[in-house]
Amino acid sequence: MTSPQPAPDHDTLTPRQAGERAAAVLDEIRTAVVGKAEPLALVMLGILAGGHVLIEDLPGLGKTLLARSFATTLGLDFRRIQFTPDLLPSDVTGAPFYDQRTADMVFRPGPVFTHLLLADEINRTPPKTQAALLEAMAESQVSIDGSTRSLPKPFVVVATANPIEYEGTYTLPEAQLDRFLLRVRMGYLEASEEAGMLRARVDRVAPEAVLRTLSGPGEVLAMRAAVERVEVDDDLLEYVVALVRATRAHPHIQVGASPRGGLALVQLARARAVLDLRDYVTPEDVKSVAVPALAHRVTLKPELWVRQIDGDDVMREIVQSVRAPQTLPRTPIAS
Amino acid sequence: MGRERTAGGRRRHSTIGATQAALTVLVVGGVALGALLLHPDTGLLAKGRGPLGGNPVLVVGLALLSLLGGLGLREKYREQVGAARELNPVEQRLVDGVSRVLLGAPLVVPLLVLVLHHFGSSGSSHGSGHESLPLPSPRLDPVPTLPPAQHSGHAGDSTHFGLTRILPGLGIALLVVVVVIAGLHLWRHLARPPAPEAPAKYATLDDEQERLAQAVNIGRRALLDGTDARAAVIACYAAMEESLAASGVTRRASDSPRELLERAVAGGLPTEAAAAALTALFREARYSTHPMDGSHRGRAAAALAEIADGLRSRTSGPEAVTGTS
Repeated sequence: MTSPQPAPDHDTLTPRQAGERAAAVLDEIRTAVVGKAEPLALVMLGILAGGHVLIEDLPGLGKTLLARSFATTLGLDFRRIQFTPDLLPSDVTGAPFYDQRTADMVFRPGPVFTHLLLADEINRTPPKTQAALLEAMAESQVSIDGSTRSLPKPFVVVATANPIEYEGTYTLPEAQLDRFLLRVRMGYLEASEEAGMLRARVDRVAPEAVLRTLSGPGEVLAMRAAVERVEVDDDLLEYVVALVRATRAHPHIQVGASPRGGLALVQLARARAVLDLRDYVTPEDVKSVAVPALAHRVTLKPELWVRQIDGDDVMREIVQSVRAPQTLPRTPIAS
Repeated sequence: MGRERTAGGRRRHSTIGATQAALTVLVVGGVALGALLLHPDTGLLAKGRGPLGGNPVLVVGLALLSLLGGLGLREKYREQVGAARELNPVEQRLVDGVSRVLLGAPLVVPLLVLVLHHFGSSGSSHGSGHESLPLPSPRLDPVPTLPPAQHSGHAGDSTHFGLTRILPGLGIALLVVVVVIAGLHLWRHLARPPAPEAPAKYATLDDEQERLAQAVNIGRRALLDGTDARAAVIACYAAMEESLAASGVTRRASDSPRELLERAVAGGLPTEAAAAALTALFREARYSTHPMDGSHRGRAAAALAEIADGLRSRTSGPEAVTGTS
């Protein structure tokens, strides 16, 4: 699946260059993952913005393929953890073991020590093991036996969760959900896309498409640095704050988005600007990522469960009701 | 100017038309009521009974009906005339006079009907209202007549009696039809909005043209007078927003520039490429600190001019169609 490529000079990238390389990566991934243009772009935004991605959808929709395709194309180390009820925290983070030759305790790194970790069905493991991943996601480090070990850079967790099954699952607590920069829903393919996927499988003879590696860890970090160079107007920051505050005042929401939600929204909007080859954020960037960035951070009132209203619906309503920045700036901008 | 003149003429026509219709219904209705309830062939102040005067409940009911109808008519008339502003002195006097008549008539007509009606004890038994006439009674006739002659005379009497019953009935029906038609006509006239639909179309289109021209002028002034290219580009986009609003695509509070553009294109914006170019320029000018120069200003001006031309041609299209219809 992997074929080595020469690493380009990626010390510094402009937002435009970063956007072009990200677009090339996405094009390559689309040869393996049929359809799903927006979910693919959202996962890319999460990686560019330096966050972790929660993919919540039914089994068999290509979540694992998507994560593995990103790892391959971006040239990142890839590990996968299948979360089960008997999984222990040390199975995630690693544990010290006794080396008889040296008569020493030697730390054996767990699968979390990688660039891209696929945490498959994360809601199938108890909260104790989920919490072991929490520090890794938040701090990019793990603390074991009093010593702290940094994780490789970049470190990205792509977690999947099945939203339908309740038997034998442990719903992710709000604190852990808040650690994910965005939540992506894959959704089913269109009929034509599904037929195309079957045709592609029949034609290539192999189970999976072979992807080229177009990038590497250094370039991913350079792309992230380029995102930091994207400018955000004050009016847009106020717009982000208005969106976040609207989640706290909405009658259907019990607990609104945290300030971390606002930070996530800004970073994702900047990444969206990079993907559109711009070095400034527009209201469209903010609006396009508001639902994936905030919907999983709000807790709806219990009665809405009966009415089949979820966080995405409420967030869409909020996005359509909050006033966007006006045409004329309040303070003149000098040329 | 022409629009004002047209509107003034329409208003005057409306006022006078309402006055004429109100007076027509008042006169026809009042005369019909008097003819049907009072004695038709005696003096004005003589008590009597008309063709429908036999039933006192009917008389009182019709009097009440005329009272309520008159009051309703007056209310409707005042609403209609009140909507038409700036009446000239002649119209004002006419309106005042009719208002007073419409105030007095609903009270006076039923009052006169009740006061002048002859509520007799025997009236209810006949119902025809002709008991005051000395009709020949067979029991009082002392001279017997021959059977054939009697037979022929009885036939002539029955024919005469039939005609006297049919003709008033036809007259009543005719009067009712006239009153109903007049009432419907008046109701339609008074219920009609002050500004008819087709002339309103002209006025709206004129407004759109004015707003469009104004918006474009604002953008062009911003392009000409200031030295700040960024402000000029933003002003051009604001002018495009105004133009779109004038053509029916108004920006919502939560709309981003792209959403407004998409709605405008979905609404049939003829110059999509120019609008997209101006939107991109605006986003750069508004949300970035990129240096903006004369080339940005020039591109914005060209895009705005193209959009304005496209919208103007689209706006003038329906007007021409309406004007010919």
